[in-house]
Amino acid sequence: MKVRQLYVLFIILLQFTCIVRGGLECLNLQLSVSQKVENEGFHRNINWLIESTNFDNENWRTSNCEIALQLDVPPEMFVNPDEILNLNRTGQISAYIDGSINVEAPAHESTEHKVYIYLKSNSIGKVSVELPVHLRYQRAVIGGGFGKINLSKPSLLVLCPIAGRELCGDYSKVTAPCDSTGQHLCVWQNVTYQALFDDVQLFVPVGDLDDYPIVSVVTLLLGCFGSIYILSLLSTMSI
Amino acid sequence: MWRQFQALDYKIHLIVAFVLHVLVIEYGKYHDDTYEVPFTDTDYMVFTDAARYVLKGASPYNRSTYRYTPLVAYLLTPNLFINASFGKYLFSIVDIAVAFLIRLITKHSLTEYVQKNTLKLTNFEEKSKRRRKKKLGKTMIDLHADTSMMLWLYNPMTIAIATRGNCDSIAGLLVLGTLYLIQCRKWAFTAGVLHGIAVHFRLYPITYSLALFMHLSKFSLYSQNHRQQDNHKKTKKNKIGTSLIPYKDVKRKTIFKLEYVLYLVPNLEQLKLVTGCLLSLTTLTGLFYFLYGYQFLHEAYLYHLMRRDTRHNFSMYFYLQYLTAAIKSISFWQKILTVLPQIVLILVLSVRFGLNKLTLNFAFLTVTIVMVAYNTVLTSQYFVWILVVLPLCLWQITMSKKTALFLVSIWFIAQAAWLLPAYFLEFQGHNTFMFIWVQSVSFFCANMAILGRVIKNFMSVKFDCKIN
Repeated sequence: MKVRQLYVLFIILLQFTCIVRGGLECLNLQLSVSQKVENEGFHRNINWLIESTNFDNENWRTSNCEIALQLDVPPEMFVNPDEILNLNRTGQISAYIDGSINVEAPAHESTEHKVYIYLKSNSIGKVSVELPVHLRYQRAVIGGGFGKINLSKPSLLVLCPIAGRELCGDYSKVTAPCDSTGQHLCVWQNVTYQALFDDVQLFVPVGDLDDYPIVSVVTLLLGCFGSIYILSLLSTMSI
Repeated sequence: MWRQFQALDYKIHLIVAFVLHVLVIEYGKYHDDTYEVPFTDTDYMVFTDAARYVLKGASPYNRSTYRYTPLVAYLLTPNLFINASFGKYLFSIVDIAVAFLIRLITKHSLTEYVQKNTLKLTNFEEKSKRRRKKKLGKTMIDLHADTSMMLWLYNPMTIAIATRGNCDSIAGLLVLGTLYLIQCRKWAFTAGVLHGIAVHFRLYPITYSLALFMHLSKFSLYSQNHRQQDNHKKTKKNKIGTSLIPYKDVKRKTIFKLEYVLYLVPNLEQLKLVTGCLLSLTTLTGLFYFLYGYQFLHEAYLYHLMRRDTRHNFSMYFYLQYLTAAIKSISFWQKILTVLPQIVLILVLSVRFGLNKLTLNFAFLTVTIVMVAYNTVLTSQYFVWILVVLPLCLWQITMSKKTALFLVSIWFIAQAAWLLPAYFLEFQGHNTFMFIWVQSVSFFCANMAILGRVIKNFMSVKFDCKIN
């Protein structure tokens, strides 16, 4: 009888140690990201390529972890909600926009917003993602030229929902929507990554305040002349 | 070939056009599933979302960027329980109804014109008889009416707008419905009610109000001849139509006379019109304000009034608006000089052409052109407003085909010339603001020149020569 009790105790202890050991086996995720901005003008595409240097796909699949990119979009830029809705619908992207967006407003009347792009991919080796962004009109300045927009680096968020399968290292916690529906919030870890790109500055044409005198005089006078021309026609015709 | 096609019965045209709409809608479904850039208008999805909220008993304005009357959301609720394309079919049927109304109104005003110009009647009838033999039973009037109808019916732009799910054709239907009721039926009150709904629906028809009001004035006659006759009648009690002499009055012509102020004193018919309009407008506004509160007022009315989009567009005023966007206090003169020319023109055109029973449609056309040309935000979407009323006046504008083709080409070339610097700005990132502005100025000049030509060639004596 005693032998049997000891045997059960042994089994329990064995299982416990297994669990503890399993818990200690953390995921050591090392990621690198490269970024490329395509197109010129007011409509750009940002391409990101996320690569894992030390993680194989099998390991990643069993971990059930998820990765998301978080981009802080400055006021000079916006992501079009309707466009994202379409891309979500056709499955080309899985993204959620946090913040209200007025696509018509100029930069100085706009606010920042956040975009979360969920990389629903089974393979971690190489994941690429493309986000269409649009630049806003900026205040006209004397001399015209181009306005500058600083594109900040995106944050990489990782969520490992299964207990015991956690990331190695102590990363800061970020509360963000769990998926592109944005209905629930999850606590993600903001992981560090190796950035294979420099900070980018985008340029957008701005109006030239030196044009103001001629533009205002010609525009307003022409409006009046158009009106006078039609009135003069009316005064000479009879119906 | 063209003449044979033109000579087909109008019902066949309506059916063919509807089938065309259905085919394009079906293609749209395929396009949406296949390509990245959808065929369906973004607003159509907004309407459907708003309809979903309405079905749940919530406010349609819970859907951001829904900036229309709740009526659109109500109308499109079957999108959710019948078919997702229901709305597109509805808009297509509206398109057909618009075409039918164009035919009715054109036919009515042509008949009226013929009746009121007895001298021209004989020529017209002779011509009609001759034509009737050639054209499978179609009279000249029918032929004119059908051509006008076809201009709307087979216009790629109107087909695209309805089948992509844009609700602008409904506004067109309401505007034409008002014209039909006031001209063909002479129901001032009902016309007023419909006008109120039109204003509630899209706001822009408010600029037609004065023309409608003037049309019902007792001073509104058929032509200058009649006006002269009327003056004679007061003294000599002559009968109208006995001696129509072409109007060649040498006395000084002015745009404004003091007696015009008298025209503003409303008669019974005008009161009916105003009452009908105010009744439907306040009822709808009050009802929806009660249901959805300030959000309704803001999204459906105020947003459209206060909209100040400084991004580049066809409007000549865009660069000026952009340059002054950052300045908080825009000078008083700039505001006045932007708004005043078009207000003056709209008022004068409304009074001038509204006061002639035969030229109400033309009043609508010229007011629309002025409104579009002077708008501070101008995109190609606004051209539909012109397309709705243009077919009605086609028979009144007597131009040689060459001149017409020339004017249309100028209009398209001016647009194309604008597109080039706009492309370089938007997609290549070149600073071409100044060039875009120069092109928008030339587009404005083109618009004004065309308006001038159209007015010059309107109901001129040439019409008789052509008929003969």
